[in-house]
Order: sequence, then C-alpha cells, then structure tokens
Amino acid sequence: MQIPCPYCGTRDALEFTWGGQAAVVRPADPQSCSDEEWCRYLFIRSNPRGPHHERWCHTYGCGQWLDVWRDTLTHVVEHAALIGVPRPRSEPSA
Amino acid sequence: MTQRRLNGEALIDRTRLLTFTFNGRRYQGHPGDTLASALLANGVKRVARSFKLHRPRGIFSAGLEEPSALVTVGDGPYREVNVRATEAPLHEGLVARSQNCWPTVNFDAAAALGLFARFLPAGFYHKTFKWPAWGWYEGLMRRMAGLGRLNGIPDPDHYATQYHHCDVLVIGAGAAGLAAARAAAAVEDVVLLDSGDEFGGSVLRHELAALPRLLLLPRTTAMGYYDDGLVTALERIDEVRAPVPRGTQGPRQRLWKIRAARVVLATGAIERPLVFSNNDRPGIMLASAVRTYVTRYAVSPGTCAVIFTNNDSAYATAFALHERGVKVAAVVDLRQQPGAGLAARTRGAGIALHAGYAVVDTRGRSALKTVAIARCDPGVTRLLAGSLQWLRCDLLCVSGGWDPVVHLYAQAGGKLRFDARIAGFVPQRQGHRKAECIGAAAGHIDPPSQAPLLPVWRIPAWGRRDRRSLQWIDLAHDVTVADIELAATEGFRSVEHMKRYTTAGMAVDQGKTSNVNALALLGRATGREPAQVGTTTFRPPFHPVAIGALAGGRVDQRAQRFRRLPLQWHAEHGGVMEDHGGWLRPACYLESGETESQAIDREVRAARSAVALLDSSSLGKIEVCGEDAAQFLNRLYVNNVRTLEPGRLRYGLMLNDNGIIIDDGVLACLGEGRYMVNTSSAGALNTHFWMEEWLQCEWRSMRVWIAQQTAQWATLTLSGPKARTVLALLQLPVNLDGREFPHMHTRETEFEGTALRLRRASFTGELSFEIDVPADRGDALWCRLLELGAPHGIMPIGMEALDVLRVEKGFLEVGTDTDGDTSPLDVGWGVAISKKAEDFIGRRSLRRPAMQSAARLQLVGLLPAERNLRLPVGTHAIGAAGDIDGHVTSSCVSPHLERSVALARVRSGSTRMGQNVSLDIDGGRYSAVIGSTAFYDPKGERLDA
Repeated sequence: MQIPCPYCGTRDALEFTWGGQAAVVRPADPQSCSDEEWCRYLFIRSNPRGPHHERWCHTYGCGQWLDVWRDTLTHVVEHAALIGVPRPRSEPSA
Repeated sequence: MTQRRLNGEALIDRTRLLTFTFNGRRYQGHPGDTLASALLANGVKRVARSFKLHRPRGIFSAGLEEPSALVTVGDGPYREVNVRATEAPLHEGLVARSQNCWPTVNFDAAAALGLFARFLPAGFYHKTFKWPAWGWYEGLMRRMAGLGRLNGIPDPDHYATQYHHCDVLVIGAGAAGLAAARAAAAVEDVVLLDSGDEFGGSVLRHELAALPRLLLLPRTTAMGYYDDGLVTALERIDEVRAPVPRGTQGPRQRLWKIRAARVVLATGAIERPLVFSNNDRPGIMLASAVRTYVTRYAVSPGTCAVIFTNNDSAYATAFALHERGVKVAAVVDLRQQPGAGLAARTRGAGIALHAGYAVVDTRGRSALKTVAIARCDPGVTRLLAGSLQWLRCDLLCVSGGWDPVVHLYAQAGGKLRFDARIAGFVPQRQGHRKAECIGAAAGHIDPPSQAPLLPVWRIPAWGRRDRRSLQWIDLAHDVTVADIELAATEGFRSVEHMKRYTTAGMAVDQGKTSNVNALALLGRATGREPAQVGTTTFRPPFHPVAIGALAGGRVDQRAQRFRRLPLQWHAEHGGVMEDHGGWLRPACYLESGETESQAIDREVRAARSAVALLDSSSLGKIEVCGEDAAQFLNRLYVNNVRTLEPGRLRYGLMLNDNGIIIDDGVLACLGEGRYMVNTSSAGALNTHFWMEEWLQCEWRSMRVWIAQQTAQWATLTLSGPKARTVLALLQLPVNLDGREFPHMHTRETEFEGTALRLRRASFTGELSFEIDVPADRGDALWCRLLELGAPHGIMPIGMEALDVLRVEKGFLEVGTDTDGDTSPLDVGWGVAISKKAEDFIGRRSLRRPAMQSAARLQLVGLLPAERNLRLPVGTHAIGAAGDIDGHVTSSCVSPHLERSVALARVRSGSTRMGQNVSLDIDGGRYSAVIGSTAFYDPKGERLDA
C-alpha cells in the first residue's frame, strides 16, 4: 500500500502509522458529558467495508499527521491531506 | 541401468560429463540437466515415497509444479529438504537422496501403511486417535508426518534484499511476455523476470540485453503481489550449494521487492492430470513434461509410451517421441472425435489411435508396466462391457487440459471466471487496476484446438469395485477421490473447508496440478458446477521460499536493533549488557570471580552506604516550549503543571483517554514557557509521538513546539549519601547545599565550556543528582566522577541494582507494575488528582463505574512469610474460592531489610492492609502480608541526607 504524503510524495505504507478513524470529535467539555457520550467518543467506530476516512502519521518521514481516505476492501488511497485541509469537492465523498 | 539419452538437438552440453550421487549410487549427466532429467536419463524411475501411504512415486512434471519428486539435496549445513528434483540444476558432485522412506526408497517398511489405507481417510486423526487422548499418539504421528528431515544447523549462507522501481514489470519470458517486454521497453522502464534463464534463446537474449530500459532477471520467480503494484520475487543467484565458506562470495539468493506502475502477468499455464485408477505410479507423467524432457534434455522417460488425453495438446508429445525414435504404443483420447488433422497425422505415423477410450487402470508394483484401456460412452460416465484391453508400456503421458497461472492476478484482487472452453479458471475480462494477464495466463492456450476439450473429472473404474481410494487427486498429500467425496458426505461444501479437511492442495506444491480437479469433484459430489464451487484463496508465496531469503540481512546481531547508550565504558569494564525497554544497558558490572547476584548485592549496598554512579542516558528527554506549553502539559499529565515554577521539578503521570497509565516521568520547568520532559526510557519515542498527535490533530491552535532530545544528552546519576560530596569535587558554579538546591529542583550551568544540567530527582530513595551533559561528553564525565569519587567509595551500578533499590522504596515502574488496565486510582493517586482543577486526558474515564469499582486490582506491598523467598514475578494470589486474587509485579530480597519484599496488584488491595494473601508458586501455597509499598525509609528522610 502507498500513501501520497502532501509533503514527501507517494511513500510506502511502512513509513506511516495508522491512527484509526479520523474526525472523531472529542467532547469539548469531557467532565460535563454523559457516560453514553463519552463511551461513543472512546469506543464507537464505523469499521466500514469500503471507503473510510482515517488518520495516518508519516512517522518515518515528515512526522505529520494526515487525513487519509482509504478503501478498506481494495486498499486504494483516494486522497491524503494535512489535517484541517478540506478535501477537494471533485473527489467522491467518503 | 540403461541410458535413455536421445540424439538430436537439446539444451544440454553433451561434451561434458557431471557425476552425481542419488541414494548413494553414482550417475552421470550433462551441464544443463536438472536432477530430474539426469535421473530419467539414467533410467531411475522411483525417486520418492508418498506422504501418507508411502506409495512409490516418480517424476511427474518438469517444472516448479512438481508434486512427487521431492528430494533432499546436499550435506551437512548445506542439506536442504523438499527440493523439487525438476528444479535442482545438476552440478558436479551433487548429492541427493529420497525422503520419507526407510530403509530405502525401493523397500520402504512404512509402505505397509497402504494395507491400512481404508483406516486413514480424510481427517483420520480427528476420528481415529481420539481415545484416550490425542497426546498418546502425537509423538508417533509427528515422527510419521513430514517429508525431509531438517539438518538442525544454522544456515551458513547469507541472503540479500533488493528494492526496485519500474514502470512495467513483466513476469514470465514466454512468447507473450517477451513481446510485451520488448514493446514496453521502447518507451518505459521495464523489468522482465523468469524462473529460467533462456529468454527466448541466446540470440534474442543478446538483443534484449542491449535494450537500455530493460532489466532482465533470470532464475527469478515472482512470489507475491501486494498492494499498489508491489511484487516480491526470489532470485536464485547461486544454485550450487557447495560446502565452502561463502564469506566474500556474495549472497546465495536475493529477494526483490519491485514496485511497478503496471504488472503484466505472462505466467503461462500448468497442465492438469486426469484422474483414473492407480494414476500415481512412477512412469505416469504430464504429457507436456515428457515433451520437455525429450526436446530440451534429449531424454526419453520411457521406452514405450501411451498418451492419454482429453484435448489436442498432448498429441504434440506423441509426435515428439515418435520423431526422436521412441515407440508410442497408442494415443488414448477420451473424445469420440479428436481433431481430424491430428488424428490423420497420428495414424500416418503408425501410432494406434483409440478415440472414445479411457485408461481405466494401471499395473506395475515399482513402476508402470501395463495400462488397461476401455471404450467409454461420449460423456465418459460408464465403460462398455467387453472392451477392456491391456497395453504394455512403461510411460503414460497424461493431459487433462491446462490451468492458467492466475495466482498473482488473484492475489492482486483480480476476479476469476470459469471458462468452459478450457474447463479452467481464467481472469475476468475487465482485469484489475494494475495487473493484467496475457497469453496462456489469460486462458489463450496455444495452439488453438481443432476439436474442443472434453472435461472429465474422474474416469470410471473397471469392474465391480469403484476404486475411488486408488484414484489420486493430490499426489503430494495422497488425497484421493474417496477423500473428497467423504468430505462432501460429511458436510464440507465450501471448497475452503474441503481443502482443510482433506489437505488437498496444502502440500509444498500448493496443489498446482490438483486444485481444479479437487474442486470440480467436490462440485460433482455436491451437485454443483466448478464455477459455483469456485477456487480457494490464492495467497503468497506462489512457490516455496527459504526463511533465510525472507529474513535477508536481518539475522544474528541484526535480527533486533537495540538503542545504544552514548557511553562506551560499560562493556569494556565488565558491564553485562542486556535489553531494557529496547536499550542495551548494563544489568550489572562483574568483578573477577563474582556471580551476578553477588555483583548486584555489592552495587545495591554501595548506593545506600556510599555513592553509586548510574548511566541513565536512555531517559527520555523531550523539550516542550512555547506560550501554551504549560497549558499543553497540564492537559497531558495528571499532575498540575501550571503551578510548576522555573527551576523546579514535578513527577508526572500520563494517561490515555481511557484513563489508563501509559507513561510517567519528571517534568522540569527551565524557564517561562520552556519545559524538559523526562519520560521513562521505554517511553521516550512513544511519548513524543503521543504529544505530536494531540498537538497536530486535536489542539491545532496551541502555540507549542516539541523537540525530541533523548539522544543529544548523556545522563549520569549520582545516588547515595555521599552524592553531594562527590559532585562538589567537580567545582560547578552551583550551590549544592540542600537549602539552596533542594529535592525536586533543577539547575542549568556549565562545565568545561559546555552545557550541564542538574536535577535532584531520585529513583533510589537516596540523595541523588541527575547530570545531563552533551552525549559526546558522557564518557569523560563518567571517568572523572569515578576518579573523584574513588576515595568516597563510588561504585558504578547497573539496572538490576536499580531495580532492587526502587522496589525497596516501592516506586512503581510503568509497564512492570502497571498494565493496560491500570488507572492512577489503582496506584494510590486518587487524592492528588482531586486537588487538580483542570481537565486532563483520561480524567473523564476515571469516573466510569468500572474505574470506581472497589474490586479492582490495586498496587500494594507484600511481605512474604518466608523471609528469604524471592517471589517470582507473575506469581498469582489465590482467593478463598480458588479465584485469582491478584499477582506479583516486582520482587526482590532486600539486602537492607534482610527480607523478601514484593509489589503486587491485589483485588481491593488498598482496603486489605495487614491481611494475608495466599500465593501459588508451582502448586505450592505460600503466605504474605499486605502492606504499604514503601518498605525502606518510608518517610523519605534519606533524600536530603
């Protein structure tokens, strides 16, 4: 598998560390949220068979965390961007 | 034995002779031969005994698909088992022998197993060896199982790994692959690899070698296709394993990892055998293999041949044999109407053609002597009474059609479809993103047929007995039609289940000649077409590969990389270097005549009575600075960082968001917005990654910079009542007085023109100074301190002594006294946490009901009743009901307390002070009293001695 790092170019997945599902929103005030909300944040993930929005770190490259859109079935990486950089609209949404 | 070498053209060098040994007998062959062709040329028919029933087996194929002729080659450390005789190149002095037979391949005692074949059906070991227990039989079965015996000696050869990138990778240098590679090399960077080394012959090879953008890899077999066009391939650099030290000779094999934008699979097709009674005798071979032996090696595997086929391609074998003067007794074609041109040419050559006939049985105890043929109906469902004839022959050339080699295509995620035209699986037309099959691998079998192939998965047996248990599917694992049908009867409908139950296709050849027959017969037994049954999953490697080739250079010292301390001194002065959290650190320093435990005891006593010197350079050192640094660390650590003033230290406990302890360390405030975080040695890398993840992904607006400095500094720790005295001798411009520079404070200063940092933190419970200097100054400072401290009894100590010192003090070690379920509440941090106002990572999780449970494992001290018994780490505490009540995490016999002490995690431990627990050590019961973890100097008075 390869991931196109916005800084370093397309690199082997061995250089990257998987960080799980991306865009999991951490409750703004953990102390005031219910056990259910906190549980959802900690444990509930989508685990799809197909396109998935994940975060990966280019640990043995530039060290940057990236937003990666990867198909869990084919391992095709459709897009990778710095965290916070919105995905171009022309791409099919994950 | 007779020579079977033919006249005429061949790819062997007849002018030279090579002598080799097989089963202790000397034979001769020529350069260019394989072991198989040389054995056949010498008339050797029996080369192996079968896996389960020890039936005599011969050479079946001429390539890597060989299921039968597995032999042991070489001697001593170079002895290699399960080598396919069809692949082993002949060389002078080659020594080979048969496997799986005793005393010899010609008389094998275990062949008596054949008499009990009906007691050894599919899954027999699950059925037969159940009573009283499998263990009673396991020893015998293990001895019986397997083929060659390993030599048990480390592999003296070495292996290389090579990475390569190209535009197009072409696998297979047959006609299709050669054409594709030549066309692509005009405009792109191309790699062409092939298991052989001909590349279309010497003229074409010369021409290809001149193409600047084409890399030829001969004797290289593609093993696996991985994502995004990554293909692994094994290059056999030196196929001759000679008993000479390789040393400077370079690697024996090279594992290529080739990343290609496009992969072209010109991998060809493998011939499929037909399934009939007694189809496993030596002398029964694939028709294409016989053709190869005749034309390439000028060897006739027999003196009188019969061809048995259901398709046109085998006729070429009849003609090749005939043209070289080998008698062909008959062509037996299952089809009522073979191709008209072929039929005429066969008869024209004077060869009897039996169309609409089948081979229904064979005879020959040690090798083929006669075959029985009989007339069959057009669908080959029954045999016509009275049509049986016996034909004398010693070679039966069998062809049941062709199976495209789609392994890599399927590994790439390509889908297959069943093509009725060839009765085999071919790539679906749309292909895969980056891998495409061409030529025979795509199902285009040359030459085009004059008459269609007749798919027949099993030939009926002659007579009343059905002979299913003598109709072999998988020669390598002795799987028969009976086994497949039994699996179907017992409910194994899925091809994957059938495979595992019968072991069809699970031998070293991975069923290259048997898988399609097996799945088609499973289909027949369960009323399904082959297309509905489907294939098993194709997984790498395509072909057996030596473990050494996969390991490449990562062996011996390079098998596991350790981080090394900047100081060279230890190993040169008796330091016993061991792995501590990925670092090579001295466990202790041995003086002459000392045991390790004596050394550890001596070092521990020095730390408490005089002064110890410890290399702590592996301590994680992460600099965190910026205007939000205090807030950032305050969120990452359980402890309050906001109130930490410049020049001070604070212990820090780090959690993940589940509230689990993941690291600890000491935080130093060096100035406004400038911190040095000393993590645990094992956590130096992960804590840095953890900080970066939160900073980059969650708190993106925070103005914080993080720098990993672990390797930049050497850290030397002076610890003991005389630590201050010795440090003072360095005459640093720092007031070391306890009131001016108290415990948990830090100072930055200079020493001989370079930066030096001091920390008063202690992991021993004694007065301690941690001294940071630039890494390259570590050795010099270490030697200076030893020199200055000599009159005061200074002594270098290792990790084992440090462990005793910290256990005596009850200081926890993250990862040793904690695990993936330990919260700060479990180690007595509840009160400290309640004093912090702000949120921190993991805090919310501490309120989860499970974290608040009174029944959790909590860290306590244990005082065993037997004062000299060092409790093994991992010893379980057993509750009244026999349940597990906790476990020992750290333990030592304290020289200062003169008794055994231990740290343990015990259920509800904090509320059970003074009570007894029962410990189980190898079935013996021992007792210990639960108490505080602070065994030695509980008030901490020695810190400021």
